[in-house]
Amino acid sequence: MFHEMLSLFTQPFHEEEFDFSDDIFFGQISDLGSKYMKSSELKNMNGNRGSKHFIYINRTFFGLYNLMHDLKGKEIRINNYKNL
Amino acid sequence: MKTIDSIPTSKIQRASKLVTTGAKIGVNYLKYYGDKFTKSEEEAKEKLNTNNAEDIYNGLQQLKGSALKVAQMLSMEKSVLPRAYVEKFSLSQFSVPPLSPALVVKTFKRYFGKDPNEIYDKFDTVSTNAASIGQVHRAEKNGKKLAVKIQYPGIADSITSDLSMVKPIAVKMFNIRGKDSDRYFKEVESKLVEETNYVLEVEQSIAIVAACKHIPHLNFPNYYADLSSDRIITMDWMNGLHLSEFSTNNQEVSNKLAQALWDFYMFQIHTLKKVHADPHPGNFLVSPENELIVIDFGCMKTIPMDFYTPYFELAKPECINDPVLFEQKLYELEILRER
Ligand SMILES: Nc1ncnc2c1ncn2[C@@H]1O[C@H](COP(=O)(O)OP(=O)(O)O)[C@@H](O)[C@H]1O
Repeated sequence: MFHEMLSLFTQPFHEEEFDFSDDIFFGQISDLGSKYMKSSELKNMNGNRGSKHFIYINRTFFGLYNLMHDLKGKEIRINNYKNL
Repeated sequence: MKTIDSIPTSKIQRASKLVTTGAKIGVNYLKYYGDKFTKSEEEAKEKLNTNNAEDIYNGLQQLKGSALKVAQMLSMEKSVLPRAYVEKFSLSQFSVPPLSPALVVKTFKRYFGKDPNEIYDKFDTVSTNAASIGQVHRAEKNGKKLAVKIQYPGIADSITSDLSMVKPIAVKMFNIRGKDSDRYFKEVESKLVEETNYVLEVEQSIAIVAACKHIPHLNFPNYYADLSSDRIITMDWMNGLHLSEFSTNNQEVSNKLAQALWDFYMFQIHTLKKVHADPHPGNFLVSPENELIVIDFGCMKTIPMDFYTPYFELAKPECINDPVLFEQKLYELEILRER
């Protein structure tokens, strides 16, 4: 499951350009979201040190991809920040 | 450091549990995209949650004023809530009526020691926007249009006492076990106190703006530390449309905005190692020139190197396609742990 999530979240990083308007990619992101969301256990307290950062970074990607899809950005240059 | 939770037995089980937790944090955003997600055969389960939320909601309704606000902040903090809960706790459900003009002036005076008219050339005592724990007013000084965010009075002062009122409900709500609850509530308390500290928010905002202002097609308000206090933030008024209200058929404009947003986040993650961990449409505007405006830095998280390095190494194809190496990295990240 970690694997599914990481593979999906990091998919854009393996490309030079990425199409965030792609409904297939976004569909996978939202399926993943709703799948885990629907299991309604409420216990998120966890002592593992890494988990806190893991949660924040995944949350960030999740929100970011949603916004990117909303903006219908195509041909987004993934590594552009390096040239700024 | 085991906490609540009946500990899942196998490693895989534990791992999946954590992902569940992480993904559920997304709930806050799903609220915005709700329609895209809700149609599902799991509606029965959702119903159950709704009923549960109903009970809790009714309990919270008996709380008043700032205690209610604390409960709301708590629910945002614990944004791992299932949909049904989040809806119950959404801002509209708990919308606080805006402060009356007289109370605005009084509040401002209490926080700043001066009347708004002594500080600004113009100050509109009727607020234009509600913020999560305050409201935003228009003002003007030296010909500059300003936005002034004023925190609701009493929120910060009474967090401790309010929290003790909210505690019994929250314990039920989050299934917190007795021995963990003290530690948990201490954490929440300091988190909430931090959130009410506008001085910190201004400092953070100024730092991020300075670091990111070179990114093309990206704009920020200037923040004025000398016109701000621990409960008041003065910044430039930004003209624009909320991202949720914005739409265009021009692909070039779409690409420009999306590229600016992408560059902003990649720069934060990879260069600053510090990220605004709450990307949702309410935090962005689109300017009349079709540029992106960022207006909120309330939720910055530092990404430590000992997390950053293995996380992005995990992402490399040679690792993600190698189950053994992949698992090893999960231990390195301390996402998985030896029992
Ligand atoms: N500088 C600004 N210029 C124009 N409008 C603003 C500005 N800052 C905030 N607003 C308005 O006020 C709302 C709430 O502000 P925000 O900073 O997001 O509050 P909080 O994060 O405390 O909830 C925003 O969604 C926006 O509509």
